[in-house]
Amino acid sequence: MELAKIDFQQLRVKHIFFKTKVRALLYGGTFDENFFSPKGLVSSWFDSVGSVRYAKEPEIRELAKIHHNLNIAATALVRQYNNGQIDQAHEGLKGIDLLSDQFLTLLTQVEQRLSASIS
Amino acid sequence: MNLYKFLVHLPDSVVLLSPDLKVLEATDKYLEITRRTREELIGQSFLESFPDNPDDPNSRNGYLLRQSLETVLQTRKTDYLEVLRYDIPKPASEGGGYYLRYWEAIHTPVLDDEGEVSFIIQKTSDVTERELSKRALAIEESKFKFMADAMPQLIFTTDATGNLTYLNQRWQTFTGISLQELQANNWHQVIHPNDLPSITAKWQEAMEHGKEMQAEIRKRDKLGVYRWHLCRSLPMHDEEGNIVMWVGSSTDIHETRQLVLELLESNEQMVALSDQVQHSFLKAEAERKIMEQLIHKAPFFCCTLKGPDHRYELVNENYQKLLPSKDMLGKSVAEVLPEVVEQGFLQILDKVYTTGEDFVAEGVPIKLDRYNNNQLEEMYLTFIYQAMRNEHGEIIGILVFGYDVTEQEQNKQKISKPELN
Repeated sequence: MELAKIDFQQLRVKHIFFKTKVRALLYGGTFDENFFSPKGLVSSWFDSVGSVRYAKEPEIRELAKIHHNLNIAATALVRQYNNGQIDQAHEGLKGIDLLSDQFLTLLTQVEQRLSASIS
Repeated sequence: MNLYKFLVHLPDSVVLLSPDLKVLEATDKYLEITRRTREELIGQSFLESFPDNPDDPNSRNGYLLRQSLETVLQTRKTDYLEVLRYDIPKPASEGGGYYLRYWEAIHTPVLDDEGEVSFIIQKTSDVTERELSKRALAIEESKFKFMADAMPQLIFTTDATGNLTYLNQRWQTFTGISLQELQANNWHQVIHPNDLPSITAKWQEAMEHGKEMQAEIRKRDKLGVYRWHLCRSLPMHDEEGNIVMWVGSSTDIHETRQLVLELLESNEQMVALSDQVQHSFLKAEAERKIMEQLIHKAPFFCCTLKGPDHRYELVNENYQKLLPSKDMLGKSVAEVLPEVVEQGFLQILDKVYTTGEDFVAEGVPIKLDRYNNNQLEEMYLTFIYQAMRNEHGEIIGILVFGYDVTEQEQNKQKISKPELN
C-alpha cells in the first residue's frame, strides 16, 4: 500500500534527522528540549501514525522501544558534552550508531513484510 | 707545616700559573685527571700543553681559555669559564689520541702587595659525566619535540603554575605567528574574543582543581579565519602525585563541525519534504475517493479496463446493473463476456488500446448473457471507449462510459416498423 510506504519513509527520514541532530549537538549545535521530549518528531510519529495505523505490528512496538532507548542515550551524551567531557561524548556516538543500525534493520524488515503481505 | 705537601695533596684539581701562563705547580688530583706527570707539566706553557683536538676543527677552546686567562690578568678579577669540551691528549703510552672531556674552570688571580697578578689559580672540575647525561637527555627531548612537531595537532606544555614552556611547530604553521611571539604570552591573541573569557575561566578552574579540561574554541589561522578546535589539557603528576606540568592539545574539528551542521540542515529539509509528500498523498487520496464515489453513483455506466487484455479495474453501479450476475473485478473482458468476442468488440478494444483513438458507438445493438444463464439478451448501448494514459503518455487502459438506450431504440423500431406488429 502506497500509504504504508510513505509512512515508513517518513519514520526513516525522521530517525536519520534525529541521529544527525544528536551529532550536531555534540559539535556545538543548540539544544532543543522539545526535540527530545515526547513531542519530538520521531515520538510523535509513533503517537499519530505508528500506534494508529500499525498498532498490531510487533515491530512497531519494538521500534518505539529502541527509539526510547536512543532518546535516553542521546540525553546522556548531551549532558556529558555540556559537562565538558567532549571527547567522551563523541566516543559515545558509537552507541547511538549501534542502536540506529538496529532501528533501521527492523524498519526495513517491517516495511518489506507489510508490502509483501499486501501485494 | 709543609704547605707544599698540603697543596699537592688537595683533593681537588687545581693548577697554578705564572702571569706568562707557565705551569708553576699542580695538585696530584689535577695530574691524575689530565693524565700527566709533574715532570711533563711543570715549567711548560699551559696553552701549548693542552692544544685543541685537531679532530675537531670547530674547537675554539684554546681561544676561549686564553681569553679567560687574559681577562683575569687585565681585570685582576675571578673569571668563570663556561662548560667546555676540552679533550685531553692521551699519553703515547696509552696509544695517543684524545680523551673526550667536558670541563668547567674558575680562574682566580692572586695579587702581590702592589696589586699586580703574581699567579693565577685555575680550579677545574671534570663535568664529563654530568654533560654526557645532559646530552642524552637533550636527545630524548629532541625525540619528544620531533614527535610533537610531527603530530597533526597544536601541542603545548606549561609548568605546574600554568606558564607556557613549549609550543610545537604546528602553532606557527597554523597561526602564521612565530613561536617566540606566541610564547611571549601572546597565545591568547589567536583565540576568538567571544571564546576567550570562557576558556580562561575553564583553564583557571582546571588549574585550581588539578583536573583535566576540554573545551571547544575558535582559533585564528594565518589567513585570519577562525576555525573550531577541540582543546584538551591534562595535568602530569610525579610519583608523589604533585602536578609537574600540563600538556595541552588542540585538534581542528572545523570540517567535521561544518559537515555535521550542513547534514543537519539538509536532513531537516528532507523531513519537511517527506511531510509534504505525505500531505500531498493524503490530499490526492481524498480527492480520488470523491471521484470514485462520483463515478460509482453516476447516472451513466462506467468502467475502467487495465492493460492489453482489458481487465476490469473499476466498475460503477450502473455498469453492474447492466450485468447483474457477473463478477468482474480483476477479470478480463474476454473472460467475463465471451459472447462479445465474436461480436467484434474485443478487436475494437484492442485497436483503441494500440492507437489511442476514441471509439464512439451510438445505439449499437449488443447481445449479452446478463444473468449468466446462457441466454443472450439484445441491448442497445451508446458508449465511448477512451484510452487512459499514465504520466509518461503511455496507454495503460481504457475508460468505458455510456448509457443504455435499449428502450428508446426499441420504441424507435416500433414506430418505424408498425406493420410488423
